[in-house]
Amino acid sequence: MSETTVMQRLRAANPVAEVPVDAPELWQQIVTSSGDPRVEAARRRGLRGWWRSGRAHRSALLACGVLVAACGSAGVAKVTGVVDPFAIFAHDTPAQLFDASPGYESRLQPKLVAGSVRLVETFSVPRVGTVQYWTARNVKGWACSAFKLPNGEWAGTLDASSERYGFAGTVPGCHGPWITWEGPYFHYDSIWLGLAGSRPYGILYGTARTAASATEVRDLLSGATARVVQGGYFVLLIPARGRYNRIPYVHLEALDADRHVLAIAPADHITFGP
Amino acid sequence: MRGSAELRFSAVFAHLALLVAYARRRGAADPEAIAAEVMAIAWRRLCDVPVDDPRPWLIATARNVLLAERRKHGRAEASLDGVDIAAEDVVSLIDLDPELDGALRRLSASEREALLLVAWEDLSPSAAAASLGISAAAFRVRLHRARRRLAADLAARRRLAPSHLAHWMEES
Repeated sequence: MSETTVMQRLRAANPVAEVPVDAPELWQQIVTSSGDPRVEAARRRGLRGWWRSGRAHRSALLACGVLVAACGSAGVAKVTGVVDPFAIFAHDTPAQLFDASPGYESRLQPKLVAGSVRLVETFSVPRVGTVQYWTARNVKGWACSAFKLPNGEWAGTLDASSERYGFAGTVPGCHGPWITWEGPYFHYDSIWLGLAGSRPYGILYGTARTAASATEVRDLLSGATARVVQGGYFVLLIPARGRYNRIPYVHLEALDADRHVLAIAPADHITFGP
Repeated sequence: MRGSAELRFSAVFAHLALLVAYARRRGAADPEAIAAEVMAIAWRRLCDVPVDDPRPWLIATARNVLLAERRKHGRAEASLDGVDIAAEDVVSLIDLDPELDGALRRLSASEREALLLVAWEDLSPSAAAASLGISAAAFRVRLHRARRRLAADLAARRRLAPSHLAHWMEES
């Protein structure tokens, strides 16, 4: 059998034809969840360029007109009962927040394990304030994460609040292990916080899973450390560095109370950034 | 932001059917869920998805999701540390005719995936190479070897089979 014939036979044996899929509900669920923060960053950079251009005044007048119209529409929407999908989480309890999360796994909306919602860590971000790290587990065993900002809002649920604290990330949400960095010892993801004009912080959050009890997680590259709390959770603040205020790599290790290294993760590329 | 992001994402979402078919061909228990998962990741990482042809990125992500799913269910061994994902032998193909299925299984996982990306997903060699994270030249070599090995394997089986079975195998 020639190689050409083999390919023909293989093509003919294709067991599944590609048929069009109409999934408007999936589309709606995905696009109402938190998107890529870099798209917004790129848009802002574009706006700054636009503002400096010679057409600024003329375009600004047009933009004001659009803004007025948009505000009017928003008012009408409020009166007629249209609910902003992000606003509904603003004052919910954490359990409700996770259950109806607009985060990673909106397609399934798996239910939470009763009693799994808890505040695992409170930490302070310089010039931002005190932030709470909340977690939960859903029935599929996925981790759910959310951060309560100093003003009491949940990060990622209100555009205004996120803007105020320079937040970027994909919380709140429940996610399977493949979305975050998954290794034998660490399981983490990241968000971003920082006020304009100050040094922003990348915030790694997740779990360290070592045979012995880890008490501390350290980033070998930045030197940043964090305590490990009950359940193996940690929140590691890493100040941005470099020309673009980014954190390109982290390299985590877990230590026990005697400062013995229990586990080291491979260096990992972190894509977050303002 | 959402308007422009959604516009860009719509070009990605148009490949949902490709992902469902890919996951089903690779034996996923819930191909629609795999495809939805990949699309959710694409939305979160929209800046990483190539604008000109998102298919290699989507298929690479689908492969990772499938691997993760199988890892989770204990069907794969060891961790991924330092292991070429494409080379992991964790793909379980959907039912095929036994001769072709056997011949494909006797290929290495990376060779099999190279063949199937071209034959079933209809990717060009350069797109398939991008999906596997290797150079186009390396992919062409891999594809050539895979095609040659598969042809040789099928031919050898035919020589061993009785004549009436050989005829039936040729027909199939």
